Amino acid sequence: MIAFALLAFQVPKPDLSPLKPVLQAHIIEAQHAVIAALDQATPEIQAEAIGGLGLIYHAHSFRIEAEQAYQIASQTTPHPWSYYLGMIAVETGHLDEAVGYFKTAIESELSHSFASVRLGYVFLDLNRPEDAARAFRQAEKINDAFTLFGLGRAEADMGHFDEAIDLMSKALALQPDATTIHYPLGLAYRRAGNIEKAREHLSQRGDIPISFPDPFLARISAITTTSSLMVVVAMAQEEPRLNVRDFEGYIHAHLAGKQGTVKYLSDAYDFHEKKGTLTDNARAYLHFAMGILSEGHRQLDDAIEHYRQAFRFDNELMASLYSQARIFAKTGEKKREKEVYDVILNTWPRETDARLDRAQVSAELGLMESAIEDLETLLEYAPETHMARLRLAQLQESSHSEDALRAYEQLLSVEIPKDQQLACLAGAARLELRRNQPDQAIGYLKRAWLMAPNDPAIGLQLAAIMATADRYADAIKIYNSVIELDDQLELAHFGRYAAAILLDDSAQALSFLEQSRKALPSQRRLAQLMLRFGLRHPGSLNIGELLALSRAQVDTEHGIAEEELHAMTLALSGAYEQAASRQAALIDAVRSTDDRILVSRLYGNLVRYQQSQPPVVPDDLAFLLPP
Amino acid sequence: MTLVWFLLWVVGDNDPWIESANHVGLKFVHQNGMTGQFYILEEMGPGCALIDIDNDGDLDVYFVQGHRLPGNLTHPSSETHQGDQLYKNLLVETGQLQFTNITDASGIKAFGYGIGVAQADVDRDGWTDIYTINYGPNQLWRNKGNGQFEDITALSQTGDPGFGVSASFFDADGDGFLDLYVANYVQFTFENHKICLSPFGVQDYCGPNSYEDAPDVFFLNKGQGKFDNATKTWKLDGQRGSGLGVIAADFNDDHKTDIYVANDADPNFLWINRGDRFEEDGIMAGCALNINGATEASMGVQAADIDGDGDQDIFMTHLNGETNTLYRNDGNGLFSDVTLAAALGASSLDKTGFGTGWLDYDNDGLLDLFVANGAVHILEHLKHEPFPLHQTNQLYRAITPWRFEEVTASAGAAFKQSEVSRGAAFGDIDNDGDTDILLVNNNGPARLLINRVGHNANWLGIQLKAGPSHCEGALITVSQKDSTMKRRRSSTDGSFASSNDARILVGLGQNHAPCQVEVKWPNGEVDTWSNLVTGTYHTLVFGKGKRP
Repeated sequence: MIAFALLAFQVPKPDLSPLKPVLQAHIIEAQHAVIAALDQATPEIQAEAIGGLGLIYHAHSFRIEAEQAYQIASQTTPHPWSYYLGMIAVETGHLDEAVGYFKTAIESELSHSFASVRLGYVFLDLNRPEDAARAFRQAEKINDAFTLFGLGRAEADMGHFDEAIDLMSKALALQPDATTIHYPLGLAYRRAGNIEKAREHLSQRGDIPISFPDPFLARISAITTTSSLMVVVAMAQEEPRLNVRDFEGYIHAHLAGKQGTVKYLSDAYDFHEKKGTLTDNARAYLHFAMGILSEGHRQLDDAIEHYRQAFRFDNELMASLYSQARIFAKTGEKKREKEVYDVILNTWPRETDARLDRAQVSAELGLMESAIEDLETLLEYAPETHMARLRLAQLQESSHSEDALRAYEQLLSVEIPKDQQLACLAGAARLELRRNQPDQAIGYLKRAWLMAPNDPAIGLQLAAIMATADRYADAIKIYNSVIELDDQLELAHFGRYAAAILLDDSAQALSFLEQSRKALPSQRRLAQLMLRFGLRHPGSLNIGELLALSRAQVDTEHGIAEEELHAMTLALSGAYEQAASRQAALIDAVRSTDDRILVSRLYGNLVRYQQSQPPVVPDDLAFLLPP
Repeated sequence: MTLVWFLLWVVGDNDPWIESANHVGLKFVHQNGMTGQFYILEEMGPGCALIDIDNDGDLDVYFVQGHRLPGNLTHPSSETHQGDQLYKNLLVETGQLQFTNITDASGIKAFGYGIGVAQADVDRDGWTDIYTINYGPNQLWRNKGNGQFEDITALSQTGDPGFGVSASFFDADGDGFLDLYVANYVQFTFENHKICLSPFGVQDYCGPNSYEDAPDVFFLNKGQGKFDNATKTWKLDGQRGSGLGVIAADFNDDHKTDIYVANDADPNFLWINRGDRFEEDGIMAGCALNINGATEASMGVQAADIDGDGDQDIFMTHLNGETNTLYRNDGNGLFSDVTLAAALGASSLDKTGFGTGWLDYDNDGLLDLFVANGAVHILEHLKHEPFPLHQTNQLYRAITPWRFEEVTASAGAAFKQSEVSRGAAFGDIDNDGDTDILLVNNNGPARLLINRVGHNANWLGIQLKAGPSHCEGALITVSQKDSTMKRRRSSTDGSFASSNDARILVGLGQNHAPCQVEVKWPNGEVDTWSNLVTGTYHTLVFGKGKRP
């Protein structure tokens, strides 16, 4: 007790000035509580108090003071403070010290398993794979992905590649979404001499880490979340108005995906409302924050309501309107999306993004005149908005094809971003194709292919148009180049095969099909493509066969692509009502995904089916459309 | 010399390193031309070079200059642009480390927006030529041997117009002439300039992902100062990255020189030389990504045989939030990321590294490491300053070949300056037997860090002289009684946008025994010299050593 009373003077106190005032106050309060505890409680409680302060420091990246606090606490109770000291040592690059701390933590039975795993990883970082393997094997259970992966890496570092591959594959089987496993697994295959498997895994590498539920680190994580929420509340209460981007960025950086945060903010809102300390500005921003978090948790109705409230309390908060529009875009609710842009443009008539987006939505809703009017208005007050000119040309492709072609040519003569140049070339190619000028179309796409020789999508389009122009041999050459760029593109494989068939070169077609079957991991897509080929060449499969094939695909695969294709086939067979019904069900099923392009395409075709019109097939299917 | 050292002593007290650019007449200040638009171009340069342009035995200095943006990029002239600057070292003539600006007399008129510089004797006439790498057409300056240079860009056809940053000369096809690889960054133009914001909501510099990657170029030297663009024929056109750093070395021990390109936010390239083409093998070889399989913002790069096992290991500098990365070569061209084991990780997390080099600054025989730092995005704690990117540089000392300790804190006042450092060139500028550092800062003054500790230990200096083979890539093995063998590679490339002393300095600790030196020339022939005395430079001429 006496020793700890003396230690009250040694309670580490970092310079809190980089923190927001609300956190400074919170930490100072915690420091006072610890000092009070040091004076009165048992040594164990004192250790917990000062160790707990260390956790707060650790959560706010005051590592030196956190280490000091853990050191004091660990003198009385090594568990769990040695573990945290080990983590600090890892974070600051003092790996040798980390070894000592984790060994101490292992000795205290309570954190044995976690400390063994951490120790294993430290030994890996120290390039001591034998020690690492020993540490991983000391863990109570080595059947979780994190430990198996660590052990696999240790085996790889020792040159035991077969064992490494086995262990890392097991880790991957346990957590197939942990894409970080693919990279070291691929390298292990490479070192084992299996180039094909190495390529397979290296191409799937990603940054999703292996999850490892560590109750010790969870304590720090909880503090970080709470602190961030306190900051959000404090920011919302600040005057004058907040920088929206700053606020939004902070929430995404610190709170995105964290559970329980909306409730915390809601409670804080009620608390401050009762105290009478909330201004309209604070109300707006707290609702805005809850909107962002609800949206992140896919509670989209709640998010919309919070964004609405935010705008009610601050009718200058344009970001809350854009957020609503974003959600409606995700859910495919085009009319509601358009209504939000109406509100924005009523208040801010020169808001370029809103006008561009409203034009896009109007076009998708079939309101071509409104879309064109928006784009023309935009070009009146912002004539240098090349994107508007491009979209206008795209919209006028059907009605004013000469104007559209001229616009594309004009845009191609000025400096515009490469993606817009490519869109112009693709648009011009479409128009030329429509004017039955395939050679001109090919010319445009060749320019695009020269500009982006590594873009297989352009190669695919070029090959498709060449095939459409009966230049099958040229198409095969382009397909070959595309496959060289990406040998997993089913469409290129199938296009090449189909072109060979159309060239009446069945031997080459068979050889291509054989190559494709070897290159493509799944035969499912080939079957789909057979179906699509049937759509393009009704002679090869009649509509009855097409329907049978697409129905079989739907029955066996249950995928979005199969459903979409089946609806298309139904529509082409004249069964528009059935097609619309299936399409509506499909939209319901995918509404919550983030794939805006997919939802928008599905919705567009739904409208067409409802109007007894054949489907619009996306670009990658253009080659396979009936003429 | 005495007076200079006295001055340095007064200014720098007992510091192991002393900054002396102004004292010795290197009064160069870089202009990045910023106008508040945050053009990505502004923050990239400059580089610098240590070149013996007059073959007098001391290192002269070349600085790359920018200009106000956008400026006249098509027809740049001295009216609006200061241009690159060349300084002659008077050490051999006067006995004092002192420089004089000879840009005008040299005939060099490099008024483009300069980023980097490389050196090589491209026409094999015995005089070192200079290649300047610009945003806009690069320039090749032929050294006429009389103190003057002539612009042979048109003749050589090496005036690549891309956003070039670094270049490397090496012999790809084994014909004895040095070919040229230029790392280009992104396809930025003033018309496609984008506005980017920092996480705290103010305008900031964009990263490379805001623009298309620029294609790198490869020129094959046909002799007599003429080059062919062989990017396509040597199959280097298949991949693009945001190239910032480049080094050439034989990474897989097949006796052909390969290329390693540090790409910013893209996987790095390892182009394996197959004799008539290159094949990219970075990801499969384990040196394109970090240990977690993630791309990093690679900036500066350097290769060396750190552990003396006969292969080239690679070190690269990166953005803050990422560690710098050290890849160990297993001898077959397969690499492992050993950054953390080498204790080079945590200390680099809050820095953005650019120029870098392996140097045995204390001449103990182990290669140490220097990193020049300066951010590329506004640092939040500096956001109220006019140029909020400055950081301090770092020095690491090797404890063992694979373990380092940061010694920045004890390196003296020269290492306490917080600036926006970019290029760094390494060489023995005062010919005292240890490695000094020439450093250039973005929109700031150049610095010369004079090493005051290396000459306390013994050393051996080697100047290679070419015959039918050139010297770039020659492998030098130094053996000495009672010491481990030391392996070095002759090169001038690496670091960031800069070019280094072509001579080789080998630290020998306190061992004064004579040395045996084996030189394996790039054409595969080997010369050996015995009983070389230490503490001095030796000129080793191709074919004049003992042949096995």
